[in-house]
Amino acid sequence: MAARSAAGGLRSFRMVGDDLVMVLGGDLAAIEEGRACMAGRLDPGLGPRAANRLEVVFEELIANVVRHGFAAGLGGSILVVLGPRPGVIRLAIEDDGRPFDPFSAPEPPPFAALETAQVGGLGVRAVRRFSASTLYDHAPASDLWSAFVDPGGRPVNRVTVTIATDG
Amino acid sequence: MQISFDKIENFKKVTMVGRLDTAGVGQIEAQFSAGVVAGGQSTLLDLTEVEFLASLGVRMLISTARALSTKGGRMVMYGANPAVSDTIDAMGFDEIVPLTRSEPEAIALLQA
Repeated sequence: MAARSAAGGLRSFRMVGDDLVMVLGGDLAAIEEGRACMAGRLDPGLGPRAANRLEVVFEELIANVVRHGFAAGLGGSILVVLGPRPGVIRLAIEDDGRPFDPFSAPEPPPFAALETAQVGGLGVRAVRRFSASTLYDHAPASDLWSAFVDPGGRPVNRVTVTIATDG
Repeated sequence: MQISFDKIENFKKVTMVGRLDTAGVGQIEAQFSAGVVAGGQSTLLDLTEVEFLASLGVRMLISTARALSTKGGRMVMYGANPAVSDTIDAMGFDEIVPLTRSEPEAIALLQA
């Protein structure tokens, strides 16, 4: 088993065909540095509404991995593959943290009153609202993971979402 | 992320500038919460120059509005751009922290 890297933020990025492939470290710097890398390479035809939805989904999913997937201080790796598909933009995120399905928890109830409002689960609620499809699996790593993160190929968490490009 | 405090009529006005994301919340949360809750005055929150909103920002707004309500104050937001408004709508939290288009509408709501 390869040792986990503790390096944070944006470790590397490259284009593979039409897809942007980023390797991020398992800390909160990964959100900002990954977003900046992504923002400079988005298709300008995406539209402001879809671009915002993509940014929200990216931030919430990476934050979930960092906060819930990795033990504090141990770090980990995150692979992001982002690219256009017919009518949508596809975002796939793999990580080597503990198995964690962000879509397993029930949605929080709709807000009724300030005094009783639950503040947990809002990020996943936004991901669900903004995505045309969501999928989680714990499965063998992709070829891209093996190529750019860890050739050992142990199982990873994989979240795949699509976001409509017409907003 | 930047934050400033003013007074309009009998209300506190808070203006935010920048991205209300994970990093932005870390920069202003303590100042925002303390500045809004102290005194318990009802508060206008100007979102005109907020470029982006994530769930951590929404959690901060809800927690602060709740703390303010225990002192008898209310919070009303206004001026969200289309992207921020889309996120507010997706999370549904304008049901408990009202959002208006303009400052006069927000003032009218607090005076009602």
